[in-house]
Amino acid sequence: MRERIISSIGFALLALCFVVALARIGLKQWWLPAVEGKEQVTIRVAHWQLEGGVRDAFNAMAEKYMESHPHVRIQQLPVPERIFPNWLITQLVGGTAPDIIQIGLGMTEERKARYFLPMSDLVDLPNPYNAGTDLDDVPLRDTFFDGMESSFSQELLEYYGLPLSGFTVRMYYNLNLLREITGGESLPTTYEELTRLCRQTMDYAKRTRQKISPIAGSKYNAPLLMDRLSSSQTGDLAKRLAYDFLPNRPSTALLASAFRRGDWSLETPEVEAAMGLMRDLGQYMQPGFMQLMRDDASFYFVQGRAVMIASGSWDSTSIRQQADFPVAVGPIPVPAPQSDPRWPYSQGPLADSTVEAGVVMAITRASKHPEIALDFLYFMGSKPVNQLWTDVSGWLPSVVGVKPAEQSKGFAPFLDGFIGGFNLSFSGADGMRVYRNSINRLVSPQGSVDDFRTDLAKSYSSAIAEDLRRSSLGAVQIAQRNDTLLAALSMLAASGEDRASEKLDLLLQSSAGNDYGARRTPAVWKSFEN
Amino acid sequence: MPQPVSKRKALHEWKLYLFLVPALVLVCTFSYFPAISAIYHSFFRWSGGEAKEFIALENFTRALEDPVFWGGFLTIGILVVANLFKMIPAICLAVLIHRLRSDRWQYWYRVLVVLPMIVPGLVTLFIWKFFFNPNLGLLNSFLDASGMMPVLAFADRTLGWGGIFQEGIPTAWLGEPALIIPALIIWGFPWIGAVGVLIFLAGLQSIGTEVYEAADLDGVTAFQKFLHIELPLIMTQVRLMVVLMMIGTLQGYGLQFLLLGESGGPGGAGMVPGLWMFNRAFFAGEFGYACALGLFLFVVILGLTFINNKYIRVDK
Amino acid sequence: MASTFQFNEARDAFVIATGDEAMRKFGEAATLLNVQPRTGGNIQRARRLFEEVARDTPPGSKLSRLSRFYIARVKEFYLAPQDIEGATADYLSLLQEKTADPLIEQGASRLVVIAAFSGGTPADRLQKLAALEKLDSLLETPAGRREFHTSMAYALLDNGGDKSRAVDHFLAADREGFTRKATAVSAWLVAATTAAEIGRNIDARYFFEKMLATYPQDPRNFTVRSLLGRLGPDNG
Repeated sequence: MRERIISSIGFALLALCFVVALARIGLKQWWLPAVEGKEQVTIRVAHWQLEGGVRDAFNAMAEKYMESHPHVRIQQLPVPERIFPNWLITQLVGGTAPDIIQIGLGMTEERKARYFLPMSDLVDLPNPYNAGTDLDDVPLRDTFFDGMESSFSQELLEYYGLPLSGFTVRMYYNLNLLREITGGESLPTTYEELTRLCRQTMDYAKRTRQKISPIAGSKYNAPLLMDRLSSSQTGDLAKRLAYDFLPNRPSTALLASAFRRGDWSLETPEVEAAMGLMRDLGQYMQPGFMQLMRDDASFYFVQGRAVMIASGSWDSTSIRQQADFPVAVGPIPVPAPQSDPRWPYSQGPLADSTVEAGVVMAITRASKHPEIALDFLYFMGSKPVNQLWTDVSGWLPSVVGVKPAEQSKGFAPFLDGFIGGFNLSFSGADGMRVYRNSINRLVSPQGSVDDFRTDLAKSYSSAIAEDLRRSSLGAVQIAQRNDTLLAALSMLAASGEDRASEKLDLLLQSSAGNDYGARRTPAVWKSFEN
Repeated sequence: MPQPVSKRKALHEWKLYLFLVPALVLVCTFSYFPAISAIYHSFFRWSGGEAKEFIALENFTRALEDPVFWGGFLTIGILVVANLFKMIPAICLAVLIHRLRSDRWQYWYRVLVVLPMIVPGLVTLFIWKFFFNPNLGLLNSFLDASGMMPVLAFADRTLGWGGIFQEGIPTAWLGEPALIIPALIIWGFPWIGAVGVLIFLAGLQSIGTEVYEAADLDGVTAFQKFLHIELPLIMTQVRLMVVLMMIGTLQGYGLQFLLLGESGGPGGAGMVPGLWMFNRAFFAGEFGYACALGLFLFVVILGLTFINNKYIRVDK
Repeated sequence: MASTFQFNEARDAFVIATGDEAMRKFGEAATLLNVQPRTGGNIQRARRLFEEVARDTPPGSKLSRLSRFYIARVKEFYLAPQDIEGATADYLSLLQEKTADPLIEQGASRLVVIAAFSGGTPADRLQKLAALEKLDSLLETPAGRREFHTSMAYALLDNGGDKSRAVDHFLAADREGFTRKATAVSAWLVAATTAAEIGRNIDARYFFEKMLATYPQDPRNFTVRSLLGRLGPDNG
């Protein structure tokens, strides 16, 4: 009897845990407070932004919406970035997708078209939740700082979703360390000041026998700095090599074609200056940084082992929450023109290369309540609620006229600068792979520009060719896909279908450009085979 | 020798066969269907979505000329040889546990060996990744504290290793091409896997006591017992572990992916066929090509398993 | 359905549709081009259907001409090896009929692109492009002319041709009007930088200023203003 009781305890514990778990899920998923006359609705919202502040911001928006819509429950589903693409395709194909999903990771144009509802018919109408603000009656598209470019699919010619935030990249500073090392809190504004701070940090570390690095690097953070430095030297070169670089960077086909012709190589002075600059700053990151992940660098910084770290505005809240020291933010300076004979190709300050908004939330076709999902989407994209978003998350706003939160003021986009050039991984996945495989030879203490160049040269040409081959196939696929759409639109336009002529005209421009690329890229690729 | 059963008798209780259906369905759905799908898609240019184009054997001819794929087999070869040696500690521990006179202590040692299995493999990998951290990791701290770093630095200077070990500069174990393979070999130290130990132990425990008594009578030493009695009598288990190890090493890429990333680390030194397959699928978007690579890998593993079964015999 | 990539479903719908048989065949053929998986058999079947529609409908009808256009497309983009000569002849034949159809008139830009990346030396290709200049007189729709001139401009630049002629083509394309931002920005900025290079500063100024006025928030505008500031009086 006693043995029976003892052996039942395990089963009883298991059963109890199961009941408790079931009850918790049941309360969350199925039970809703009764509201007279209205169907109980749950709207699920999924995203991958697990950075500090963002989930709180989503909760705040949801709570505010639910106050005025008691029959609706908004449920947030944060999914880790690493598994988001797999999770996404499983949900979409399985028909169990949440009502609203952040689009980006794991997204293809095909998936967008099949599984998400376009909003193109709504972009010229005002957002009802902007009533009473200065954006009252302003078309939805014009209420976002990027004109909803981030929501527009160039291939599909439709708008999908609304953006909630904007992103820029800056240098974060540990103000306590900065004060200890320099005696003040002035942030470097020039490249010379930046490197001087790095040298001062190394002297300080040696003097005090502390393991402190000037810059916390990783295979994620380092490229944010290095690509910027590299592009500061290759701006003019890019424009000379590729006549359409300014509008269409990176203009892979023309840069590759120029490489093939010998118009530039890994020994071109501008490219060499770019490599030298990357090595110059790379030596100030902690040894072996290229083997480290993003979290390692953040950990290093918030533990007070580095004075600076380069990252995006998306890390602002996370870093500030985890650091027990004050954090300041400043632009990443690049060498000024004629400031150093080693890097003579700078044009001047670089503009933030991206002005597209992010955190684009779109409605899925699987949503059982698309009209309520749309209403919540309008709500999130309205001026008052975007203000709430930025205040709680600490991220930049996406709606025109919304004041950035105090902590995100340093991230305001800088447009009064030149467009940078290209970096060596311009061609695509294989270019990136061989570049990453060789970069240790540039940035390691025993490395050098020559070592890096020699190592990269072994497989650089074939990597570019492989990227072009893939790009060619992609362009041909798009051309083929467009053919069916064009046929359909042509017939619809002839029959007078609403908007068909407008769509046909847009698609003709898009497909003509694509078809041009579908001929040019293979021609360049084939030249690599000869 | 089992007696043959007549068809009538076998089908008499046909309802019992229905109990096999759930397991069969699961195996077909989660094992066979993906494999058949991979074979099907290897004949297509497929980027993972709905769109696919039939290209016959193009993926296979491309794979035959893929230097990264075949170069990965060299890395795999080195890892297989290293893993063969890494089986030795497990065998030794199994022998030591087997020779304990006290059953109680045998039990506790078995528990101690098995207990780390509750830690997910992924967590172990992350812990080792941290060990390899140049600035905060245990490995560099140990080398500094034990005085081995100056020795390594001296060897580096003398033997011309290219300055990968330098005093005062943390060694980037996963950041130097020359150190990638050593790092992949070192990981998991002291290489005592619970599964291996238990399998060897099971083999050792099937050796009759009369064999040991006869050996004692003949004045055989402990090491001779191991060499001439225990090792030959557990060769079946050793062969099983070799097969499992080879299949695991050939197919595996999780270790390399977690430690080195999708490009195989600096210089691509850690690139193995499985990781290249993953890279092509998820980073280059060439799922059809990745399926073709997977089929080649399957053929190689099948071939090696066949050779192992046919030519590596165990004389009982 | 095609816009949501449901090509297989769309094709199935056409197979069972009733009513206008020619339209049904055309729809089936157009969707067959993208039915998954794409196989040589499906493409051949699509081509046969297009040929049947072209044969069975009045020669001057939209369906007939569109079918012939798509036969040319199949020859250009779907066959392996491609039948570029056949596609070229088909596009030319359709253009000579002056269809005033914006899609069919894309044949002109197709001919330009084929010539721009055909074999031989850049000089050979420039000769072919020069022979295609007269196609402009066959085009009757703004979209047809716009894409023709845009393609000619890029083709000249890609083959080291006359940059001044390229700028003329950009101007001609711009007169027809771009409605897609990416296409407009690309054309204006390439036209502006090319014009500035050869001293046609008035035209450079025109394109730069159009960019600034139409897309004032674009991050490229600082560079645009800087380039604008460097322009002197017109030399061209």
